[in-house]
Amino acid sequence: MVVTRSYVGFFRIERPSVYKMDGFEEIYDRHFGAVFRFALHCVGRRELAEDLTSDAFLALYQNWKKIDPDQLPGWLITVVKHRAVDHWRRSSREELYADPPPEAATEFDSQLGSFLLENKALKPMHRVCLILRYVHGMSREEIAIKLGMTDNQVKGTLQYALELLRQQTAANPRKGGNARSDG
Amino acid sequence: MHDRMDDLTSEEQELLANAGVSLGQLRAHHADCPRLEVLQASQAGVLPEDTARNVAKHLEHCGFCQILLKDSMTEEFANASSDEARRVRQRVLDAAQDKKSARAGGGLLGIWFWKAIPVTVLSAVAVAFIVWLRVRPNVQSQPTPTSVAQQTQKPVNPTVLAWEKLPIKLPASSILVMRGAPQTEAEKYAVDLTAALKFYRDEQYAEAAKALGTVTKAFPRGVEGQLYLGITQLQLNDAAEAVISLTTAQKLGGEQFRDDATWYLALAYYDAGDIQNATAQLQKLCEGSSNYAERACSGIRELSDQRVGKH
Repeated sequence: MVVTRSYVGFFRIERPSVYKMDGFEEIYDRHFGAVFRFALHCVGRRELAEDLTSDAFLALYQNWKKIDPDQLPGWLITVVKHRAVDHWRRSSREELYADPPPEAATEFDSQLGSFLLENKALKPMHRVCLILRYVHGMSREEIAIKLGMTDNQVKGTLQYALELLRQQTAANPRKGGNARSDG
Repeated sequence: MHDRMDDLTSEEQELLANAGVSLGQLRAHHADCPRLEVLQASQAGVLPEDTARNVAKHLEHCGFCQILLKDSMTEEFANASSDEARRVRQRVLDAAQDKKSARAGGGLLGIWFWKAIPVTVLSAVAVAFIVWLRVRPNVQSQPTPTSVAQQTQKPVNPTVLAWEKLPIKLPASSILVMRGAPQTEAEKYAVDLTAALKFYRDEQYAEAAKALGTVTKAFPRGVEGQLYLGITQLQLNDAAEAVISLTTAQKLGGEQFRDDATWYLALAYYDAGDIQNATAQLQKLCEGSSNYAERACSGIRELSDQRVGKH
């Protein structure tokens, strides 16, 4: 038995295809970036942001015919936000910063602080890596995972930032040279 | 709050010391700073109320956390990498396919109901016509089973990528069942499959799809069930479902059925308008030595010509 393609096509029932989803992919491509960024801001962990983003788009897929495209990406953002609220509600008090120590010190180290604030050659990436490494005490590997970078990128970023710090110290010896590093 | 990592190199320690940074004091003072994810979440309004209040209070006084929060919210960190984008996309598509599979057998009701109506009417007319052909008095000769079957066939297709009925190949266990009542799972599968394939053999494809759907639900690892279900769905112009069934059949495959599954999967992709995947499947066959090899190579050329024609 043989079938003519055009004949088949004429009578074909137009059903949503998994791989085309009738415009779903276009919507996905248009809003994926914004939804992922928001998810990352909500949970701060990249693998969790992936989960939330895929949850939101899957919810959109399931409600595809009910959602007005004009509601996007707001609708997707709302789904992510609800999922994030659930995530934090389930988190332990320690993870949450629910019980901060009563006399938590927040002293701003003047040397490193002024370097971070005043050195115009530093970019956000340098400052974030410096703080996570030297203030929060994270390893390079942890920083790489947290920021979605490779270990070598983190290493290079820190080396560059420290070189700037060295240059600043050399140019302005008043700000350094006699302090003790006990880290 | 953090696990402190004292893995600083001597170079780092010397540099920081020369710059006048007292790392020990610095870390001691900031040992209880909120984690970066908590800082970020506080800005998105998703934290429990008491936590959000604590973080806001901390941010008022902690210069490092203020810098960290501001800088970490820039796009260079927040954008998804290509790997992340690919993983999420794949996950959405896979989950969508799972949902769709779960809905299989739900019929045409729902969002496609209205589109199905004209097709249903046309089908009813076609069935009535066939019935009329069967029962009308024939003064010349009684129709043989073959000639009646030919009336139900669709016109001959000039393209090489045509649906052709795959002859029924039953699993070996079906021979064992003929000796008596089915004992093992394999024998039960063979019995159910044989019953379902009677509809397929008689070209009652709607009934065949229903019966094979039941078989594949009960025996999801049965390659024959998945294969003939896919072929039947393809005949019923349900390419999306056919892709799912035939992909499963291809994975379950084995030597005996892999080429069949690949060929019909190519047809299913072609019917679904996915020329790229259709070509990829045909390529596998074209490079092989199966009975489909020559047709697959011709099919690739035909698809290529179609693309050129479109442009």
